Amino acid sequence: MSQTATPDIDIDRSVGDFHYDTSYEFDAGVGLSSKTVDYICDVKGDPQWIRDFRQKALKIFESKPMPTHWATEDLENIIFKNIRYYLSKGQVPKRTWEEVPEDVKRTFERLGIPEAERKFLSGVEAQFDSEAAYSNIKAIVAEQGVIFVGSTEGLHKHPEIFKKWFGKVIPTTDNKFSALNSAVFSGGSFIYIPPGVKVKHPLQAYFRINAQNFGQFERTLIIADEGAEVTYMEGCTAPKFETATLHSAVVELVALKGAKIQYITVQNWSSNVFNLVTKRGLAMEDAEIKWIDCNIGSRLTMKYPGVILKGRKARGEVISIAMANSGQHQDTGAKMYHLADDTTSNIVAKSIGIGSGRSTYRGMVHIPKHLKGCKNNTECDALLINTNSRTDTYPAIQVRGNKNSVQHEASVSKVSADQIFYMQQRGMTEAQAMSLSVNGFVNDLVRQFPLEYSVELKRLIDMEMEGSVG
Amino acid sequence: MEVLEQPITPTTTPATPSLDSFVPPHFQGPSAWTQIQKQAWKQYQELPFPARNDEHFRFTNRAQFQFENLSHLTPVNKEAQKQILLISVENRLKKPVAGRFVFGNDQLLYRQNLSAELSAKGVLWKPFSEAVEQHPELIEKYFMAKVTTLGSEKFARLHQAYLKAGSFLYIPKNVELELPLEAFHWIAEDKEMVFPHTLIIAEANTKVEIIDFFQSIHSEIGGFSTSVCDLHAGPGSQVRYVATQLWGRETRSFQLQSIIVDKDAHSKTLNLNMGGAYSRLESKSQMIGSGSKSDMLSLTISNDKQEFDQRTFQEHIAPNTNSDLLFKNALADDSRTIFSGMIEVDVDAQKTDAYQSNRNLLLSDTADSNSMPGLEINANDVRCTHGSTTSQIDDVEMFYMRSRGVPLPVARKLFTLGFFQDVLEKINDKDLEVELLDLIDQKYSQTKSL
Amino acid sequence: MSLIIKDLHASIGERQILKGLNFEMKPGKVQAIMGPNGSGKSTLSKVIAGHPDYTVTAGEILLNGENILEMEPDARARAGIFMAFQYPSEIPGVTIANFLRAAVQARLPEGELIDAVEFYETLYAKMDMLEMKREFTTRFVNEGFSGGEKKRNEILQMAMLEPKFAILDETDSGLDIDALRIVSQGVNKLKGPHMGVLVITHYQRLLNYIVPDEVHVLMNGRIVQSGGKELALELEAKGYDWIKEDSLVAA
Repeated sequence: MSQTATPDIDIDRSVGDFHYDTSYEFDAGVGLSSKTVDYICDVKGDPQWIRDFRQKALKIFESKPMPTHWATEDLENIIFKNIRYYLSKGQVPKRTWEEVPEDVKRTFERLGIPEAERKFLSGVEAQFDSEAAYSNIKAIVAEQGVIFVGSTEGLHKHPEIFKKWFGKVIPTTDNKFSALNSAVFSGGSFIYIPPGVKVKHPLQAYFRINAQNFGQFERTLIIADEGAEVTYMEGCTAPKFETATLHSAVVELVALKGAKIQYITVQNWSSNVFNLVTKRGLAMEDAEIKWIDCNIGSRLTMKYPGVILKGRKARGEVISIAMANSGQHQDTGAKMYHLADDTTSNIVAKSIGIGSGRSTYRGMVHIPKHLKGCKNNTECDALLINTNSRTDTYPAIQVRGNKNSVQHEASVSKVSADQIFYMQQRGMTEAQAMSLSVNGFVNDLVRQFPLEYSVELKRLIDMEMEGSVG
Repeated sequence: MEVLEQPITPTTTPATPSLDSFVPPHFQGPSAWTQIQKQAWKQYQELPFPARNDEHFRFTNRAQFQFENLSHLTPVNKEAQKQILLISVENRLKKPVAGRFVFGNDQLLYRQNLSAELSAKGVLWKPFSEAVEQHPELIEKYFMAKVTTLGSEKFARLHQAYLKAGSFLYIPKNVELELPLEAFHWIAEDKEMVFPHTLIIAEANTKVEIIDFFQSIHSEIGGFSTSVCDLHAGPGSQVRYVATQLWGRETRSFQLQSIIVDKDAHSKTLNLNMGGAYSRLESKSQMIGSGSKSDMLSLTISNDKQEFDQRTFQEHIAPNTNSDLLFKNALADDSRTIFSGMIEVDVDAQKTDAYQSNRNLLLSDTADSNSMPGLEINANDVRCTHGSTTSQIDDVEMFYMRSRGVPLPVARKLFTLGFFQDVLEKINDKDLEVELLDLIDQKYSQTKSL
Repeated sequence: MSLIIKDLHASIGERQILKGLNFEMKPGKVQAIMGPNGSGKSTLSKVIAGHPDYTVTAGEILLNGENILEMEPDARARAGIFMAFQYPSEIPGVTIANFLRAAVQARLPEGELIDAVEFYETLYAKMDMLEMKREFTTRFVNEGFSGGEKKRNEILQMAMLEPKFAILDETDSGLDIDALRIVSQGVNKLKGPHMGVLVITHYQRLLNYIVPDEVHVLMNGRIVQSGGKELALELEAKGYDWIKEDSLVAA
């Protein structure tokens, strides 16, 4: 397959696999206790209510068992006492790349972030371990009243909006890892779009883990006021260390009446990262929340983006692509809670298993009684490339009442031998044919990504397919 | 669970007259069997009650687990016997069967033995207690040999410990039975518990159909049943098993089925679920030989506050195997259904073709359906699909029927009965189809809100 | 026996479609209503049959002098109104025989049960007349039917239910010439002094097979022109535009 890989490919798993030595000014040390939480609060200058919130969350985290009665036992391999929970060179992100420390800047330049910003973004935040090194929003967008800052700055400078929604979509008690994030969160974005403002170009965040034995716990809160529209994209990489790294984010979206939020993730963590993320949106009347979620990297990802459809005619959508190569488990899915009449949700999940990789879909669709006109449609398809690839599907569909309709279809298949033969007969190698086939399998979903991302995705898929045909 | 925690004590069964004037012997059992039961009782006591976060009981309303003040082996009074035999025997004279057993409160009330011809061929059709004595080697080899439950391990052991009544069927190779076999299990007393067992051993290239009926003497009667069907479909055999569940409205039941399908064999099971307050069905098919196939069918019509808790498993162990599951539920009033299904394809089971479908038709604004169709696929050259739909009576079809003058209630009923039609047709037995449709019709008609 | 539509106004959602339509169906006659797309043809047939999506905002429909607008769709059907659907609905699991039995049973007085033998005799006779195979009765209503089979099934139902007024809504849509011929023959065999037939169609083609006594033009929610069967030919040749101008002048 080597002849099929474009020689100048510069976006693949290995692109993130580099590491410059960096010295940190702030370091909470190894292990987690209420002292660690206090340290983070002190460094960040958190108000008392956040300090209380964090300490309470820590207790909840400690009291909750690992969810291994339904989830993989690989979770037991996370050693919380060996992790570093806060590392930074300073708390205030720079507004220009010139001000960013040289070693950090080099990292993001190599990842192509400044270039992408110039080309097609409305604003960028670049997080390096616990804090954003760089955060900027284009003047034209800021003038419309759009706020795009880090979570700490959001909390300090816009407490009236922040406090109203923070922790409301995903309560601390939601799960063990949302509790952990609530205790030690740092970084992530705070975004507010004023009523009627439609942000033309995407806002982007880039998350970089640089240090070994580190846990990154960013916290993102996006509020689109009535009639507002925004697209947010996030990317992430880390160097591949010998030891496991933890990434556990919480992302809350609030779409008020008639607002639209599109949240795009291309997750390409190195294969030593445990990626345990809680993402949920709240959609009010006539609002729309769409999660486009692509998981290619990490050792174990557990992530089920959800939408609470709280207002009449609210719409929720999850588009998900997962690729699991040997040594990887992509445990992804979607949750849709219908809480108002005439709400609709749509889930399309496609996964590809390569080598001994394992992909899992978990879904939840919930329609309580006395609602009417609710609709959900779920499709999940898995493609298995090798004989030892594995896929699981675990949806749960709860419907009450006779005025709603729900449909779920799932299928598992392998690449059609006829199709491969047909392409080979036209002169392609088996590997090329396979790659083309896989790209075809996810093509309808990839097309929903912004152009720049879909090109990247196709290349990533080609790279992952390399060597899969023996 | 207090009563169930009591150790088993040998019970005396009083002599009960039946149509054949048959009196079951006092059941002591050979010592090997007694050992099995003692061991099972020990395991039952050691096993924990299903934990609150047990995934096998997700969505189950545990408030339904009411097992107090139960009795076992209560004698069946004359009046009740008369009624039971009228329904299970006299009213069915038109329907020819190869053999029939009727049990009331786990006591044999009637038996129709096999014809001399079938007996001469070596077919065995015995009440379970007799088989234990006469065919210990077959019992040892097949009895709950592979019963792997889908959560109710504790109840399986309870069944094993209390087991007394049931059917034992053995068909030597190359024998085909033209007529079906029937077994009736009656609860004839309020708060009575029963443990019906069905052991089917079909050797190579055999053909048979067996039908179990689970009924209560009054529709309002309470009680508790843990039944097990242990089905072994030998190479090239064709086995059809139908369970018709018509328990009284206050009855709680656990119905555990293990279906083992060998090379080129074809098993077809159908569950008709109508009665009970809480009825749990665990049905597991294991395709152990290449070319084997299991069809798993189920029809449920629920009303009032009934809960039907269905857990299924299609395990593809050998390559080139096929399974096809279709569970259909129509829900009225405040009733609930839970469907949790799993297709598991083992690493070596390439060329598996598996399908799993759960269709729910909601007939009221408060009915509650829960569907968890699952897949665990460990081989790549497979075709596995599942689907789940939850829907309601279609307005367009209603208008079409009404425009032909069909009144709305009739149109709704036609639609609902039509919903079950594809499952009924899959059993390929016209008489049985009519009988089952009639039962569904009755239940529909008794549902006042419809 | 009469079916008189007076000043009928009907809407779907916010949209007003019928705007004061007057029409009378006559026993023993074949009448045609023609009109361009969006003129309200299908709305008219659905409103007569009582489709719940449409709201009648004014006017009446009188069957033998009695207003049927308050009647449920099935009561209207039993009173003698039949509509052959443009897109007949599929009813999985319900065979044609069972469906027709339920429909015939619904027409019997309370407590009286259908005579199964007689029912099948009648059914088979009607099927023979329509050149339909017996196996047809065991198929599920319209499920997996071709366009032609669906329309033939509609005519079979009409034959069995013996309506007083039959409305054929775009019966020719989706039919090839052979199917069109068979369906038309069926209608021609069934028509007679006991029944009024209303053919609703966009094209003149169907009227070559089912020859109308009267042709009416529906436009913008009203009947704007009436004539004999030659009017259909004129419409075929000139299109609908000349009527628009004409009727504007007339207005």
